[in-house]
Amino acid sequence: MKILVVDDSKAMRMIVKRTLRQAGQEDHEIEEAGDGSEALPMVESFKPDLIMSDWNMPEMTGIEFLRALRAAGNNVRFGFVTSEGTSDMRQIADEAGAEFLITKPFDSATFEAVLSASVG
Amino acid sequence: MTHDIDDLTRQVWENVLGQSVELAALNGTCPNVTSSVQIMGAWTGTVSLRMTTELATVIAGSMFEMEADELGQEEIDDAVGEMANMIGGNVKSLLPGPSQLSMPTVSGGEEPPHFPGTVLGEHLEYEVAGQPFTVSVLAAAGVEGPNNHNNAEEQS
Repeated sequence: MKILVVDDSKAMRMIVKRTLRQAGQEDHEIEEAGDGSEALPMVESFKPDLIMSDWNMPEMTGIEFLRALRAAGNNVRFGFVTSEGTSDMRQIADEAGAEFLITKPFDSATFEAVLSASVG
Repeated sequence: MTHDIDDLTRQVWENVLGQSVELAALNGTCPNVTSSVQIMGAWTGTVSLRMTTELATVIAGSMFEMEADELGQEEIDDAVGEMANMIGGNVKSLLPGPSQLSMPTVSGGEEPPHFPGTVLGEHLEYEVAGQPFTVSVLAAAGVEGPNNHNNAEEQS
């Protein structure tokens, strides 16, 4: 499985990758991007099976990134990893086509539970 | 609100950095690093974290899994900015919505930063790894909550 991790914080990208390993997802190929505008062309080149994206990022936010993907006809599995987990944001994420929204801080058990359905 | 902010702050520290925190007065120790986020919308204000350079380095070292002498300012600013993002984002979830969260800003200096047009609502002081750490929630003047101090002066 190929996973694209998108977050403007390099520290958080490292934490996400570390938590993926702790959740038993260490055998996957993982690439990183710093925001949606950087990630968008990587979707074409890397062809991830799953995207895990922050919401609030410069240049192109996570929700803008997801909407751009869906508008281009790309139905890649997509989930948010964000500090903002309000009900209205979950609704926006769901309506835009996200499979899940994990709130920060998170632990490996949360990743395991959410990703078992997405990654397999 | 104070209890909720305390809960989420402890959760961030314990889940992300594996360290417990205790509420503790600053006792003269002087934080000199500030990271903050703005919240704009149905509720408008600022969530501001203050800590010492030493604690900022501990945070970065834990997030990046690097020794202190391997860390550059970019890594330290990234890590403390992400702390503000996590705590600020969770504070935002406690407040009226909808609203937007800004990108974090990080600055240095022993004087607390000035956030013009705001009133201090919440202020919690902690000790983490022997270092002071504070969380402040400031509301735009005229905005209700959280728990605007009755006699607080508006920051001009």
